[in-house]
Amino acid sequence: MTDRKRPEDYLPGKEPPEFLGPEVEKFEAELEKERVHGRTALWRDVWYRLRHNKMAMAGMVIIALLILVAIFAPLLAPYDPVEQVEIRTPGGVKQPPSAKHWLGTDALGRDILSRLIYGSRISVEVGIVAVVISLVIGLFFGALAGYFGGWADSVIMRSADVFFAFPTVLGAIAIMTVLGPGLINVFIAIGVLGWATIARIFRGSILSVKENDYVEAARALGASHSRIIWRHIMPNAIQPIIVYATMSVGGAILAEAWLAFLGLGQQPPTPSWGNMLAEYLPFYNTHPWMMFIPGTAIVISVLAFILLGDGLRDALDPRLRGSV
Amino acid sequence: MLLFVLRRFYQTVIVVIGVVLVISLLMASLPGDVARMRAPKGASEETLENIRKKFNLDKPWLTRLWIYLSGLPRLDLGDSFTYKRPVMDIIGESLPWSVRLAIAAEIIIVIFGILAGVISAVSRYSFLDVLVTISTSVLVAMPIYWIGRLMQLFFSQWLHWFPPSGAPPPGTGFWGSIPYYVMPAAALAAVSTAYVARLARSSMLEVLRQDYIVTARAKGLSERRVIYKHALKNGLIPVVTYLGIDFGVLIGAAVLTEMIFNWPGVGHKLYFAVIQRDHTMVIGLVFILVLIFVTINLLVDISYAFLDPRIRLGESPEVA
Repeated sequence: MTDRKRPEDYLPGKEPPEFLGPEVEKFEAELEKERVHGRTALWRDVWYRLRHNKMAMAGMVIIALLILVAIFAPLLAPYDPVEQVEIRTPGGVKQPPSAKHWLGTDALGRDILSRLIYGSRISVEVGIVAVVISLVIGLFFGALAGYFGGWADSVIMRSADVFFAFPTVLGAIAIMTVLGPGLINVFIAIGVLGWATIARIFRGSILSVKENDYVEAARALGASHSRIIWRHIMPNAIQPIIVYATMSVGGAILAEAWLAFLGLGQQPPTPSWGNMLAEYLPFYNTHPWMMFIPGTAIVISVLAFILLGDGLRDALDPRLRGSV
Repeated sequence: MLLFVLRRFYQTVIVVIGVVLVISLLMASLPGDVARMRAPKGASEETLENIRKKFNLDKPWLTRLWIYLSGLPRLDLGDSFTYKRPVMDIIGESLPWSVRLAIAAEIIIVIFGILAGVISAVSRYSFLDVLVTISTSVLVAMPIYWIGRLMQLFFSQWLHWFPPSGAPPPGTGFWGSIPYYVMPAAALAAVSTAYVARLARSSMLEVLRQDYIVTARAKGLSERRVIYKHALKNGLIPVVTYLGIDFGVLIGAAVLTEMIFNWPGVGHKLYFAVIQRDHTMVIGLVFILVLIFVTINLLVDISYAFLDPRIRLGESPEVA
């Protein structure tokens, strides 16, 4: 660093005392660090608060495990999830847990543990893809409505009202009826139904951020609309969206489960937690343990996303702690 | 006040027009050859042609859209493929069952949700509070049909407290039919009870921080009187709004509960319509349920404006 200021710059016309040298260097290094990391200070704070929230960290660990299991499913699963390994063995179907099949076998003699491991892939996919679809549509229209206002705002928000008129279950059923069953259509149905809430939240927070002086300053400097939205408004308006999106992943996993129950989700024999639960429910009085396996998996992962979302909300805005 | 009602009414009309458009679009763009799916296997081309004629499937897309749209003002939602009867008749038969179940669920939500919320707000961070927080989180994370099956397993299969499923048989008196309502209503109420408990908790905590509560305590009122006389009334305002709007959801979103408990409501019909690919029926049922939902929202908002002057003067932050 050649342009680095020397201590004598601080004390013009004087020989710097020897002892000040290292002190000033240290101070400058701190300043430099602050300058580089200044923009991320908020996120450092958030991470700090999040790290000290036990529930949120528990949720995060569970989510990390879930994603790892989904990625490494072929390595972890002891059997092929669709192979009917025990179908010919006497008493091989609907076996209770044993050393050979840790979670037992299902009505077709398939290994439940392997199906559970592979099923996690569907849950992760549904959660991520559906929420990304909602985010893309919702953020775009929310930004349009909030930033430009006027007739764009009216049209977008009135269409959002129409989507709000459909309770999720009914909306998903209506869309899936037209599109037909299948995983891709589950993505679309859940994703499309989620945009209205995201648009409404984002619009609201843009409206409140838009009036700030620094936005006015950026406009005066001749920044383009997209630069103002993405660079100046977005970082300040995105926080409620992050919380909502995190919780939505849990909602999407749950939605896959009930769509599968209606026969509209991932089609057998490919396992998903939803179709496993739907498959095992009829045996609730003869083999009750079966339904607890995918059921517990669903509850734990949905809960993990809710806990992380709760924690994020508290971390992003400590004033809101304890509110719903 | 009149202005508020009119504006709110006008918004609702726009939403309903939007819903009608969406529903008709969905109806007009049904997949595949519906006639072939409806006809018995190996039906002749002539039979297929007749089915198409009967359900207007031979007409072009726009014509079908128009036929459906023009039927709506007469509340003609078309004929069900499976029942071979007007969809509207079937709704007329099953809707009362859904409404009754929703009322029963609402009672459960009010009692348990508010009780749990208030208890956990008053004794914050106590064992009970933690218990309420954990159990409400778990309830929200559970697939509702699994809750139903678990109830059947515990309370019917093992404990024999309630009949496992079905509506009370005809001729059962009021008291006699209560056991039939308990489990389906509880399953339907589960998620909303959890929400109400959390909402009541945070809203009560907010109210308990207010100055007039401090004043009431300073006057020397007993803690019981402070909470039940002063805090509760104000703390429950958001809860009551939620309950009103939720009633529409309870009628409409009962598909899974009604299915598990074999309850003869609209949701049950909707489930079988989905399974049997009875498209007119699905779309018609969804349409009516959405209408009910929108109407209830309108009524809740209007009655709210009567109760809270801030809302009708447009001071509410939520004027999206």
